[in-house]
Amino acid sequence: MKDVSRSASQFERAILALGETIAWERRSGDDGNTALGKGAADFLLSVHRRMPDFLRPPFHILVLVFDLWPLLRRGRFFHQLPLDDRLAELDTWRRSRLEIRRRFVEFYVSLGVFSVYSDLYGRDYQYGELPPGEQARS
Amino acid sequence: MANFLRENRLGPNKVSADVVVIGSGPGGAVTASMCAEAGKFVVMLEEGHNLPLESAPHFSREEILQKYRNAAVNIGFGAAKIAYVEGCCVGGGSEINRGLYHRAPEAVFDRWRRDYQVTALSLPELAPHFAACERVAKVEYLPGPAPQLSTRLEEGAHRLGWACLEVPRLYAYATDATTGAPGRKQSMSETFVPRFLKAGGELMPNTCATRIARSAGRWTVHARRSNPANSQEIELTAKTVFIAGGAVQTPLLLRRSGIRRNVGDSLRFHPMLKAVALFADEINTPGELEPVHQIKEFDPRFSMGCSMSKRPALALAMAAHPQMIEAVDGDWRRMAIYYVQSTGGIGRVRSFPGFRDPFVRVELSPLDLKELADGLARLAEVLFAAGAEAVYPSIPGYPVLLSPADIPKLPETLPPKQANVTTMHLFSSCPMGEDMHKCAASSFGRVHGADNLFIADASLLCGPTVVNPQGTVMAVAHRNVMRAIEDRAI
Repeated sequence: MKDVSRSASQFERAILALGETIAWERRSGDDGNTALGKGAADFLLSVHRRMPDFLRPPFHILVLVFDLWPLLRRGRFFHQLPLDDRLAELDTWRRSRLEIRRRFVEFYVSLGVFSVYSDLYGRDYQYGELPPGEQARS
Repeated sequence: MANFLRENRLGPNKVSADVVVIGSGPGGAVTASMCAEAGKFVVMLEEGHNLPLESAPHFSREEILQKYRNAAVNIGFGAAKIAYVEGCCVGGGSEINRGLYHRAPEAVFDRWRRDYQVTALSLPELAPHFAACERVAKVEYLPGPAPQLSTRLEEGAHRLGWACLEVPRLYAYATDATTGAPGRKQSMSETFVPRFLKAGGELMPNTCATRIARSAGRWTVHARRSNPANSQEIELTAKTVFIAGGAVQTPLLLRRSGIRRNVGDSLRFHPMLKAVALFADEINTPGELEPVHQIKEFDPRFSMGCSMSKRPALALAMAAHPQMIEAVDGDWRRMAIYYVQSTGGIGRVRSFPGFRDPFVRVELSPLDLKELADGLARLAEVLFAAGAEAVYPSIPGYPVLLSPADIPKLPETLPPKQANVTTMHLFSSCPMGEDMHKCAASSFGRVHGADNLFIADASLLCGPTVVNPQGTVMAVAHRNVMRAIEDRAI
């Protein structure tokens, strides 16, 4: 999680941190499986690049606001927070009274979780039953 | 392509053809192949890539990035937002849908004839066109038993005395297949597009039509071809143009070209809600065939069915219950996704200056929202009758239902702000018919007031088909292009 490219923009750093946090939240038992977070972040970035052009600027701004938000209370951007603080921040947004904050988290978490489960269980898409006891993985 | 361009090049980036078809989905591919087989020089433009059927598993992350328009992030704005999806690849929507096949019911055509003054459009009149399309794109029932997540729905319906049927698919099953895919999906890239190419048609993928204009008795299609290195503007001229970009893109192109009469004002769709059911025993097995049962007891108000229920899809459907999502890891073999879809709602398609993508506004009336809420309650009822231990509506803030006694806990109507409505079926944005107050095109798809300009996709359908619209889109396109050929319009 500390190998964020120096050339990455603030937006990309925020998305990477979001992807890592979503992956961690879903698969907290898989210590060190940073590939899941990276995969989720790559997916979120791919979706962002493809979304309707009139949605892209507002979503870009929302991600930056999300990244900036903890600066007031925690003194750091979201992408600079340790994982536990990121999880707490995600929960704060999830329970927010502001609909736009709840929707933001719903949108990115659902896409991120879809990506994480695609990495974990891509084998499900292949034809033929899994051998007994095999844990399906892509 | 090289020979074709040499023979028909008018200058740098300028091509002449007899017919240009914009869009390669079910309407466009049928139309283009018929025109090519009639001996015409036909160019079919497709904005998306030309990808093999196997380029990505169905409803996988990879497929969403490769074949869905805007990575499936399309929103119809309104008090209740609707997420809609469209295909964007050679074959269009036929590549990404499940291919459940129906001929639309007679009552649908009766209504369209009556309300839109569509001539010569009855089920008997359309039957030869349905049959002609079915000969090319095979429609088959499962050769063996349906998967359990599908038969569970049937069992639940049977216990309640509700009508339920197994639906055939646009699929050619290989009954002797022992490994790998159980056959070939009969999407356009497998059926009508190869037929079009065989007849000498020219396919131009990665080419987006941006505007059409008429001068000196011919149409000019302005388009942008993209490749990894750059994009270039091209012009195609033709006597006849068929627009088949789908119910959102077709009105967008027409409106940007200055053709606005009854265009994009009457978008309709099948709004859908989903729920995940948890059963006592295992019903969801990797590698299973796709579910095929649908409950028709409440048609045309709403119908119910079963969705693809791989773990990534289950996780997505359970996103409304984040505290329960770990159940997907442990109990996924006992879980499956079901849906209810109605016919309500209306929308408009508009363009913003300076933006490529259309702005879609949707409206679900209080009655539409009530209908969906009723449908969700009925879906829960049948899932419990099928043996479900729990039902998780895919709507944020909705309760988890643990028995039929919990069904009354569901809101009596769908709260617009909470509604997690999606749709894959969009139509009616440019309805056909002779009622000049409502219709954008004639009974045979010719745009009113425009010579040799036709619409050939779901935009033409006058309202919800109640069932999956692809078969009807293909049959109507086949009927209309046959008429255009007879009338020497091409």
